[in-house]
Amino acid sequence: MHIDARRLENHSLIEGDLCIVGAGAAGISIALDWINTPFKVILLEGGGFELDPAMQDLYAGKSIGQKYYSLEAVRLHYFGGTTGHWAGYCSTYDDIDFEKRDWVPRSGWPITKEDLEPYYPKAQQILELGPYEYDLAYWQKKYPELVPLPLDNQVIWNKIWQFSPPTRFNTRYRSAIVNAKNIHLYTYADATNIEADDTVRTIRQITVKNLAGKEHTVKAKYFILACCALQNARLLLASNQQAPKGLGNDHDLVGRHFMEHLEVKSGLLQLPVKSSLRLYMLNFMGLRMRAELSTTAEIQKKYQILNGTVSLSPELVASREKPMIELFPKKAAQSVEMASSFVKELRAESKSKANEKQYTSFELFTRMEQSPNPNSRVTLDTVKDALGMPRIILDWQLTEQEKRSIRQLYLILGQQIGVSGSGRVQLMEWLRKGDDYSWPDFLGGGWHHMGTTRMGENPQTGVVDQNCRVFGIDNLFMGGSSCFSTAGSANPTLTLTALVLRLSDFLKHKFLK
Amino acid sequence: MERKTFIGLSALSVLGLYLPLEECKPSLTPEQDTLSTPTMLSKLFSAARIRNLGKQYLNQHPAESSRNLLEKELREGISGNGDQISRDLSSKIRQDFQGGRTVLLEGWILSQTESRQCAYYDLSHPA
Repeated sequence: MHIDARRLENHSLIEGDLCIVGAGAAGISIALDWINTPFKVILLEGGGFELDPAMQDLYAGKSIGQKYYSLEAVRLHYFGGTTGHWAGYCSTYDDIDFEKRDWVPRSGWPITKEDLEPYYPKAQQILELGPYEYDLAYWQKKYPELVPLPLDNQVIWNKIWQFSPPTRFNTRYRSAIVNAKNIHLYTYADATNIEADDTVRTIRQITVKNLAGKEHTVKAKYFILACCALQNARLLLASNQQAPKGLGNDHDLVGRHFMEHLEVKSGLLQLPVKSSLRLYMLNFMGLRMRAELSTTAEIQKKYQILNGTVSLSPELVASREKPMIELFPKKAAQSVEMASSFVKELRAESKSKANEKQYTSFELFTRMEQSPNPNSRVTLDTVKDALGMPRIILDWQLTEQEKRSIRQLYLILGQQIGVSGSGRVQLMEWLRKGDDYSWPDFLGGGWHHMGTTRMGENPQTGVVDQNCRVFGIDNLFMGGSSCFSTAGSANPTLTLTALVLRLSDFLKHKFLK
Repeated sequence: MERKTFIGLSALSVLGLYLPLEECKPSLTPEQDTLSTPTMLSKLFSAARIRNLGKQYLNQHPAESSRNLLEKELREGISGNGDQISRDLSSKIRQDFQGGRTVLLEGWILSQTESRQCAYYDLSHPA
């Protein structure tokens, strides 16, 4: 069922069993999971079904730290959320991503990968990925032509990725949601305030507003905030009527530990003879999978480094591509257009079998986790948006550990390539000096926002518990990558979808009790 | 093209043949020529680049700026002659990588032995 909140009588009361704030990958995945249940689910979306510059402006904010993308364009404020311009790269998190690592401050989730395992296959289906298989042996058996570089797998392993079409939740799931009798989708219902009771133990209601000047109240037994890591933190911090520091923020953790994946051109692999290295090439048609190179958990421990991967692209092709941080537009409509052409190009390349051509030079590109850093954070500005919500200030801060980890990753890879006799590796200029912790201008992120309402063992270490419930508040849950305790090396969408399906399951059990 | 020239020159010198261009340079025995030919790098890079890598190595390790010393270092652990030298050098290079004895030259992660070969090449074939 779909209701346009602009057309409701002003000050309407909306009531349901479960209220999900945000209709992006996280919110829609939960809503899909509740279709045909006996419960009334309210799904609130700030925007409509089409991109609207006025809605995007509500996301605008200041970036005062490490150079970052336009906050107005990097997330999409409409039904389907940021899946409107994602590229669809997916992989599971590794066991080590969940573990406490004594060399990574504040690492360790209160859950393990095993806790997410039951939910990954379903997340895989929602994101229209292939079989839930992330083991190289499976793919090699199926496609013997996928030959890995002859590296010591005790040191470097092949991490498998799969590619979503990419699923645009807006078009893919719109009719399923709109036609579901028990899912009440409200568009143009932008959550601007969460009101708790006087003890701040229970959420009483949420206020939604729109640019048509309407304001409504939403009541439910349980509330899930699933409106992206930046917005989740913003909403908690701005909801300060009962809790002056913001909801769930007694220990000053909301908005802190903002994490991204560092994405950056880093080096070159030179081979003595031409090779297609097909296993490692982007392939959006046919196989829709590839491998990236990563250090094993043992090696990460030995060298005290973060988790990261190296992807390979023919240098001839990659050298023509500008870094995303330089290309990314200021406006959302252009970013959607750019994403669409990017996917078209990848499909055309795959069709033309360009990825089967042989080369001797391959560009090496890093995707590295960021260590949880309390100084990397989202705060509220004094400037407000058109709905009266304080805008955000993003202070993306990196540490020496990320730089050291990237450099060490390539030194290890270079050694292993040398041992194997398959070629040689060259570091880019910015990585050559071991005591240089500066970053190049072309360092970007993957538009992956994580950690702002991190999961912890207790309220001193996290905003939410192992079930994504805000510590101290019985009926408020956070959905999505804002709950991630560490960033892992893989893109977050598959894991955040698995995590919200786990949350969904947890809440179903609560309702059925 | 440059890379082919390098390989060509090396092959000729192994056979004891030298192009007129090489006449003014110190003549190398076949063993010395092998020592001055980093096998993998000669497949990847031009002679000029190998020379530059050699110069950079010597800048980083000025104490090794002597052909005799480099030859001594390169021959260490190598007992054979002829093709055996080449095989032993390959093995030594592999052991360098395994043992973390690497050098960063122009950003390339190279084994210490092959870096010395570049330096030896540079000193043996002055421009």
